[in-house]
Amino acid sequence: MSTPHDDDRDTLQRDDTRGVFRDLWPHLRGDIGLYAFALLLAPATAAMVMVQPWLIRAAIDGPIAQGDLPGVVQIAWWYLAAVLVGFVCQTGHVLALSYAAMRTITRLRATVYRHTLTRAQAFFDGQPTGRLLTRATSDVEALGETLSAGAVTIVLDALQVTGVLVAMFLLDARLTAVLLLVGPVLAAVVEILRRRLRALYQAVRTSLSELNAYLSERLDGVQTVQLYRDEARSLSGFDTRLDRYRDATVRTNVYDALLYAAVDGVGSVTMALMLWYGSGGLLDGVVTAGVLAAFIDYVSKLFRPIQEFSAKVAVIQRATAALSKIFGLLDVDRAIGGGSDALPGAPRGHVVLRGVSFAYDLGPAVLDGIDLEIRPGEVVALVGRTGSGKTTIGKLLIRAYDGHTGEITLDGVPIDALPVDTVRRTIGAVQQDVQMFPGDVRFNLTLGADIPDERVREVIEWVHAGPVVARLGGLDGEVEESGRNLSGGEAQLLGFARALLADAPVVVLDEATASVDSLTEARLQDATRAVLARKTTLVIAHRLSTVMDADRIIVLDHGRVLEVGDHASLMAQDGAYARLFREQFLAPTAPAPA
Amino acid sequence: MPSLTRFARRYMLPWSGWYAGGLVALVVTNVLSVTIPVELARGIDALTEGASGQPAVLRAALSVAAMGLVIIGIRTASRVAFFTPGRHVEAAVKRDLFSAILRHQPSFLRAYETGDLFSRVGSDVNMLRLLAGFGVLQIANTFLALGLAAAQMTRLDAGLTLWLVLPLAVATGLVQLVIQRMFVLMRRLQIEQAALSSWILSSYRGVSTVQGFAAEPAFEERFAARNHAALSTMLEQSQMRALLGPMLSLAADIDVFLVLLLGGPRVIAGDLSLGELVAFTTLVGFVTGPVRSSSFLLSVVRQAQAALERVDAILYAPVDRPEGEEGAQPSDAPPALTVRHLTFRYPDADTPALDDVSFDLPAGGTLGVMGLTGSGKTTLLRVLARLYNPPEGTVAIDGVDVRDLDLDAWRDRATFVPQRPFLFSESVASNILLADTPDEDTVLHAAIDRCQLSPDVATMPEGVHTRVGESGVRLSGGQRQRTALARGLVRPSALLLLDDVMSAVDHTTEKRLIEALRERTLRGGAPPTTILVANRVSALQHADRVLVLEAGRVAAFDTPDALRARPGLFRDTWERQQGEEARR
Repeated sequence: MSTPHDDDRDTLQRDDTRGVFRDLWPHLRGDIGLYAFALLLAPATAAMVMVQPWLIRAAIDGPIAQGDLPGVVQIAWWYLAAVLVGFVCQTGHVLALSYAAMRTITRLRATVYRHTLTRAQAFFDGQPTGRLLTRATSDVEALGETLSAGAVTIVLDALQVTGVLVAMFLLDARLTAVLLLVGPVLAAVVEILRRRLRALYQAVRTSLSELNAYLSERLDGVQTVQLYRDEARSLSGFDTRLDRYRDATVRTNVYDALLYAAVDGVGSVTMALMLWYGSGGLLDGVVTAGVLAAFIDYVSKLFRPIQEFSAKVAVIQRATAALSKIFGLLDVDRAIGGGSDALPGAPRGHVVLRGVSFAYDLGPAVLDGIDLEIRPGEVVALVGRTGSGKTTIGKLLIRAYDGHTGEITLDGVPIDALPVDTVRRTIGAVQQDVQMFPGDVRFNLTLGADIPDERVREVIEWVHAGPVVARLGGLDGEVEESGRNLSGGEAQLLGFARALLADAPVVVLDEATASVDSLTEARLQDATRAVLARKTTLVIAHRLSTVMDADRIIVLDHGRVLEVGDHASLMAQDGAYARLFREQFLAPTAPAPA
Repeated sequence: MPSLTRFARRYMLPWSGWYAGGLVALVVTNVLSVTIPVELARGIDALTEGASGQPAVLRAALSVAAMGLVIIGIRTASRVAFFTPGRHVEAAVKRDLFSAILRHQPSFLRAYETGDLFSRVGSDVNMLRLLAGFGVLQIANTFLALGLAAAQMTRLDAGLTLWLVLPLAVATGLVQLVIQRMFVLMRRLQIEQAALSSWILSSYRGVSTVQGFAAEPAFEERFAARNHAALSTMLEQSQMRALLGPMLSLAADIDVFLVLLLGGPRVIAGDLSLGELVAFTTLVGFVTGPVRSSSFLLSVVRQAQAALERVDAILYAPVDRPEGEEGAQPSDAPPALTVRHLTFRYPDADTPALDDVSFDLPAGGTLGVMGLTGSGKTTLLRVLARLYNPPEGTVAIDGVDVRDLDLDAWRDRATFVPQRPFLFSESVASNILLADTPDEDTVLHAAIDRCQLSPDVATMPEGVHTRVGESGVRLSGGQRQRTALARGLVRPSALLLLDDVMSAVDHTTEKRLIEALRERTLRGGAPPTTILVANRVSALQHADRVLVLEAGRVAAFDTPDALRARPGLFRDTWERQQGEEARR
C-alpha cells in the first residue's frame, strides 16, 4: 500500500539536530592535524585569489598606462607567482581536507558498526536491517561529502567573499557601493529560490527513498510476484512512486536552473552598473580603467561562490540529517549488561531457573514463574504448543534478552553477574533459522575461531554434512548471500556443526533439526550422542520423537511448567504430554504398524 | 556505439522538440555571453576618451544590463529544456527495466544478485539520465562556447589567442588522465563498498549468531579489512580530486598571466586597446567553465556506455518463455500430469537435480513427494511451476507439453507455495490477496480460517490489516508459513504445488491443515490436483501415491500403504516417526 504507516517511520534519529556538530567533535579529533592544516591554508588561498585582480589593476593603471614595458613584464611575473602559490595552497587544502574526511568517516563507520553489533537482540527486533545498514553506509558517506566539500569550503568561500569585498572597498569605496544596490536584490532572490528548493529537495529525497524501498522489496520477492501473477500490481505500484519522483525532480530542475541563471545575469547587470557609475567617477578623476578591470574580475569571483552556495548548503543539510540519524543510533544504549563475577572453576554446566518471569517489550508475560534445574550432563527437553515460551527460555539462557525477574544461575552464579562473553562461551545454541555469512565454509563453521581443519572435518562427518560441504567445494567453498545456495535442512546441519565446534559445556538445541529429514536426523543423533553426553543439553522441539530419550521432559503451557518427568512417567500420568504424544503419533487414519 | 544509437532513438528521440528548443536558447545565451565582454571593452575604451565618450559608455552599460537580464530567462529555459527530457528518460528506462525484470524468469535472474539488479535500475539508469540531460547540454554548450569565444578572441588578437590555447590544451590533456584514473578508482570503490555493505548487512541479520557465539571480534576484524580497503581507494581518489579542480583554474590563471605578459606590451605598442585586454581576461574566464565540463563529459559518456551495457543486458535479453507468441490455454479443470524421463540440470550445475523422473498423476489426484535433504523435491515443483522450464517433451498437462502452455495462464492455474515464503511489508490481507485494496470478503476469511490463522489474526492489533513488517518479521515462522499457504489457497487453482509448507507448525495444526486441503474443491465440486512435498509421514498418508526421490532419481512410486510394506526411505521414516510408540 502506498500510504505511509507509523511503523515505517524512521524513529531512529534525533529530533533536535542542534547538538550534532558538537557531538561530532570527538570523532574529528583523531585527524585534527589535517583539519588544522587545511584551515590554515584557506586564508592563504583566499589571499592569492584577491591579489590577482589587484595586480591587473596595477599593471593597467601603472606600466601599461605609462608605457613602461619592463614594468608590465615584472607585474606579469608577480601575477604568475601569485597563481602558483595559490595553486599549491588550494591543492594542499583540498588534499588535506579530503584525507581527513575520509579517515574520519572510516573511523566513524567502525564505531557505528561496533555499536550496532553489540546492541541487545530486542533492539534489532524493532528495526529493519536495511535502515541500520544505511547508518553505516550512505549516512556516513553524506557526512564525508560535507567534511570534504561542504562545510569547510563554505568557510573558504566566505573568506574569499570577505576578502574580495575588502579589496574592492580599498580600491574604490564608492564603486563598491554599487554592490549595496545589487546585493540585497540578489540575496533576496537567492533566498527565495533556496527556500523553495529546500522543500523540493526534501520531496525528491522522500519520493526517491519510497521508490527505492518499493523496488528493493519487489526485487527480493520477484519469484513470488511471478508465481502469483502480481506483475501488473507491482508495475503500477512502481509507476505511482516513479511518477511522484519524476515530477519532484522536474520541478526542482526549474528552480535550480533559475538560481544558476539569475546569479549569472545579475553579475552582468552589476558590471553594467559599475561601468555606468564609473563613467561619472572617471570624470572626477577617481575611477581608472585599471580599477574597473579589477572590479569586473572581482565581481565574477564574488558571484561564483554565491552560485554554488545553495548546492553546498544542500550538502550540509544532507549531512545534518545524516548525523542526526547516526547519533540517533549511537544514542541507543540498549546493550546486554554483564557483571564481572567469575565462575567458581571450570564450567560444569549446572543451570537453575528460579521463579523466572519474562515479557518482551511491553508485551504480555511469556514466562510466568518458571522453576527448572538442569544438572551437569543431563538432557532436558522442553515441549509445548506454539507460544508456550520454550524458545524464550533458550534465549534468556544465552542472554539474547535481559530484563527477566527471578533468578537464573550458571554453576551457582547469577548469569547477569557474569560477563556476557563468559555466559555465551559456556552456553551455546543451535537455532531453527541458521544464519549464514558471506565467506567460505570454514569461516561459517568456526566464525573466526582458531580451530584446526582436521577438527572441522571431523565434526562435519558427525553431523553428516560431508556431501553438503563437498558440493560447496570443501572448506574453501563459498557460502552465498544469506546462504541461498543451501536448503533449510543443509543449513541446519552446518548450524549444528558450528555449535559442536564452539564446544560450549551447555548446549541449547532449539528445533535444531526441524528442517532435516528424519533419516539424516537419526544418523546425526547417533553420531553426536557421545559428544553431547559430556554436555548439559536443553532440547526444544515440537517433534516429540526427538525428545523421548531425554532424562527429563518439561511440558510448558502459557509460560508455566505443566508437567515434569521422563517419557514413561509422563505417559503413565496421562496428562498434557500424553495428549500431545497421541495427537502426533496416532493420527486417526493411520493404520496400525504392519 | 550501436547500443547508444538504440538508446538515443528509443528514449531521446521523442524529446527532440525539447532538445531543439534548448539548443536555440543555448545559442542565444552563448552569443550574449561572448558579446558582453566586448561591450564592456567598448565601454572601458570609451571611458578613457573622457567626456566625449560618455554617451558610448552609457550605451555599452545599457546593452550589458539588457543582455544580463535576457540571459536570466534564456539560460533558465535552455537548462530546463535539456534537463527535463533527462528526467523523463530516466523514468522511462527505470520503468522498462523493472518491467523487463518482472518478465524474466528465474532461469535468467538467478545469475544476478538482488543488489546488482537494484543498482542497474538505480545508479546505472542515473548515469543514463546524466547523459540524456547534462551530457547533451554540455556537448552543445562546449562546442558553442568554445567556438564563439575563440572566434571573438581571434577577432581581437589572433596571435595572443593561439598562445592562450596552449595552457588550456595541456590542462585538458592532464585532466583526462586524472579522470580516467578516477573512473577506475570509482569502479573499484563501488565493488569495495558493495562488499562492505553486504558484510554489514549479513552481520546485522545474523546478529543473534554473532553474539551467541561471542564472535564479535572476528566480525569486527573482517569488517575492518573491508573498511580499510575502501579507505585506501578513497584516499587515492582524494589525491586525484585535489589535482582535478585546481588544475583547470591554474590553466585559466596562466592564461591571464599570458594576457598581461604578451598583451600588455601590445597595448603599449597600440596594437590592442585597453578594453580589449580586459575583454581577453573576461573571455578566458568564460571558456574555463565549458573546458571543465567537457573533461567530465568524456567520463560521463564512457560511464554511460558501461551503464548502458548493464541495462541492455536485462532490457534486451530474450525472455525464456518457450510457448511463443500464442501459447495454448490450459483448461480450468484439474489437470492430469504425465511426466516422462524428466532430467533437469540447473544452468551452472554439473550433476542433474532431477534424473530420469517419470510418473503419472490423474486429474484431481494427490501426489506426495518425499526424499532426503537435497534429493530434488523442490526442483520438481519448480519445474512444474515453470520457474525453470523442463526439457521439451518431458512434462505433459492433459496431453499438452507444459512448455506450449501460455505461461501466465498456467501460473493462474497452478499455484506453487514455496518452502521459504516471501511476505511483503504490507498487511496480512494484502499479502494473502495480493491486491491493493483488500475488502473484508468471505474468500479472504475462508482462507484465513482454513489455514488456522483466525486465532492469530484475532490477537493482532489491527486484525487482517496489521502490517507484517519487512519480510514478515512481526510474524512467527509458523504464522509466515500459514499466511503464505492462505495466499496459495485463496486462489481457485486447479493444481496445487505445496513445498513442505507445514514444517514450522505443530502436529495438531498440521492435521487441521491437511483436513482443510482435503475438503477443498473447485467450482463444480472437483478436487484440485495436488502435489505435496513433506518430510513427515503423517502429512503424506492421505496421498493417492507417494514419489520417493533419491539424489534426483525415483526410488519408489506407490501408494503409502504399499510403501510402508516394503523396506525403503518411506518405511524407515515412518518407523522412526511412529516406531517409538511400538517400542514403548
